[in-house]
Amino acid sequence: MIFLYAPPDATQGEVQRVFYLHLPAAWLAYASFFIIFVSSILYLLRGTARWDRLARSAAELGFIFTTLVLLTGSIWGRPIWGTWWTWDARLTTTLILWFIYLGYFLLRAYVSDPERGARYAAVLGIVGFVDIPIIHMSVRWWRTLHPQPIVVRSEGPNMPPEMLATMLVTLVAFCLLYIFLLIIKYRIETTRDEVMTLRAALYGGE
Amino acid sequence: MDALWYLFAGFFVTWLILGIYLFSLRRQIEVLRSELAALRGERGTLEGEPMPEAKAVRDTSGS
Repeated sequence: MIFLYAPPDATQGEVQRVFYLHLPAAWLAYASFFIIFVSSILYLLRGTARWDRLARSAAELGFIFTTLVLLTGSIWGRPIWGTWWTWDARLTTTLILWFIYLGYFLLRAYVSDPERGARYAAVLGIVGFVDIPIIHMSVRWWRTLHPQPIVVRSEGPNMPPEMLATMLVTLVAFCLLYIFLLIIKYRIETTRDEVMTLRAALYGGE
Repeated sequence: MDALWYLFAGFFVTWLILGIYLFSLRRQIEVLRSELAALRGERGTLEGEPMPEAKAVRDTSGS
């Protein structure tokens, strides 16, 4: 659909088709942080390991999708803006999101007690979520090179129906891929916890 | 032509990263499964039970 059904953009030409990867990746990067936010709250409230596992799994996927957003945005921006990177509000806040994800992993890796690490990471997951509305509103609050929202608008999407249909199909495909990856990652984290429990039982937590 | 190059680069990078990630998930599954099997075997030995692999060998040699 991206290449055969959707028409090329009148001003940007063929390179605009990167949009069909860039936008779903961005939404899934936000969705990941929303999952981390909710499961971190539930972990702190209930202390159940499965919420921490879900947050861990979503964090890894969020990191992958944020990396994709930054890379596809940079590749798309080069021919349109004439630069790979600019300290634009949307780009900078997205880069901050990437660093928050990185900090989340580092926090877990450097705290020796896994339970304490999970609690600290949950707090970062809740505090870090503040960046998501800032990213979304950045194009309205500041003058940016990044275009204004064209899909999520109060007046409705501002694009031809063929482009909108293609965008929705790619979004659904990306969501399905995301759910598949999240299930696999969650199972891996469950097995990892089982391995750690067994190891602790056998070697006394060495 | 230049625009097509950037379009190709965008798609290539996306699928490359997703492909590498899928491969890394597969590796993680393999490593964890083997570690889990080894730990279960070790626990079985400590509890005086024969390891699952040993059981399988004994069963096939008996037939």
